[in-house]
Amino acid sequence: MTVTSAAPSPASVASLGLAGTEHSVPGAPVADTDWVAFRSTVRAGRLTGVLLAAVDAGAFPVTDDQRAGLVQDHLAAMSGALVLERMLLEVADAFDDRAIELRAIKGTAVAHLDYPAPEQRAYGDVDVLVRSEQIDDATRALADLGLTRAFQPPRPGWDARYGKGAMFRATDGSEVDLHRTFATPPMGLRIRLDDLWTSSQPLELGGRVVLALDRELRLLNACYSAAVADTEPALATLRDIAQLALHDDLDSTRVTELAYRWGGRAVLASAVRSTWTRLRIGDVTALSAWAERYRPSEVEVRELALYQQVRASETARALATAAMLPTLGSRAAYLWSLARPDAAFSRASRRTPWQRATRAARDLRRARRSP
Amino acid sequence: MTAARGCGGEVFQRADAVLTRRVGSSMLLLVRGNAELVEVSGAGVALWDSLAQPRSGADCVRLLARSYGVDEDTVRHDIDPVLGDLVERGALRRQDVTR
Repeated sequence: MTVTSAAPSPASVASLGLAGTEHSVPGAPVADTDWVAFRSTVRAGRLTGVLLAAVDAGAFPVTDDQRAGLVQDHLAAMSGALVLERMLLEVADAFDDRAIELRAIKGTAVAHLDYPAPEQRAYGDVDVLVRSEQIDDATRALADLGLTRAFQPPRPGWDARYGKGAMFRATDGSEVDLHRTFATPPMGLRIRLDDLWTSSQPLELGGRVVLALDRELRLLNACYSAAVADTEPALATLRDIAQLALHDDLDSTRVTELAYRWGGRAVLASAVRSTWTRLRIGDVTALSAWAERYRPSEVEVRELALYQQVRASETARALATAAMLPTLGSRAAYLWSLARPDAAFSRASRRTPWQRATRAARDLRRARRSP
Repeated sequence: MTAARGCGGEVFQRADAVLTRRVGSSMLLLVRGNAELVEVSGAGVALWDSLAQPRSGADCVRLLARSYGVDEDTVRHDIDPVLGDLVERGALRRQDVTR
């Protein structure tokens, strides 16, 4: 009789090879009846690299057929990563020609700088950070490379003042995300953007050096992605946080100080706590101990809920953003841009100004009813 | 004359503009400026590893034969087409050092 195991949870896979994790691994290969769904979950979660590394280290038992399927999935993921890296180099060259400063962020940067081997981190797009004052130039440079912007901004100048960034697509389907900050408003507006450019870490790709954010900034970037970009943080992002937070050379004091300067301590604490809980990390570090102790204020809890609750509305976030703008005039200009956007934005969002207004009113009624 | 036997002063080296990933026993190579992804396996991966520093084809053969306990003719037979292919695709550069 063949001995098999039930499929482990995706979080357990995300923690494979991580020092200090208390997740257990199966003692025998996953039953073939469960393998198909398990393999699909691993692929979708971009976790083929950590799983294959564990398999090849003898830390995760699989059958020969299961390993062959996993290798196929990982070959596809890594082929995609190489195509994206080539795109990053094209973008870096184009930006250099126009004297646009760039930092590689997220997938490419953490794959090369924070994992034992870049093969352990799959990713699905190219993410670059540029200075606010250069985002319009960067947008034009990407258009000249043949990339098409996915969504138009509500008004000219929006990207540099309020936006998190913009998404572009190449004809081969590759996606380039251009960022100027780590989060959408209101949180993104409080991040002191000059802090993102004070230092960097070089990353060598195909014989060319591209600058990435330094380690502490990469960790904060991952924390904002986990805590406020999605309602449910991606396991690959939590693994990034673990890789960064458990690094011996991390300056955790600098991390918490930057989070304080940006009004982002609740974001940092939430993301680190989620990582430690979901990946079941037993080791206690200065940062994990701080995150465990940190008690967010009521205002911080409400603000995090704007991002983390499934039913959080665009209108509530817009009002919270307007409230933090310095003058009545700037608040009015911000809300007016959203209420009366340019025609291209309205067409893309498929809503007329009237529909936007009625939606806002409905969102507000819903927000008032919520506890 | 085969690439691996090579001329006396000919060395092979990895091109700068190559992006790589190792997956299982295979290796993926993507040369900037070349649309095609190349997957090498077996002797091709061993050859790529041996070219962490520039070497002549004959040096590669000797090194791999010693490392894997295989006779040099067998190694030459296995790596010769790979050397030529990788040069053609721009992943390796062939340099004549006698000039």
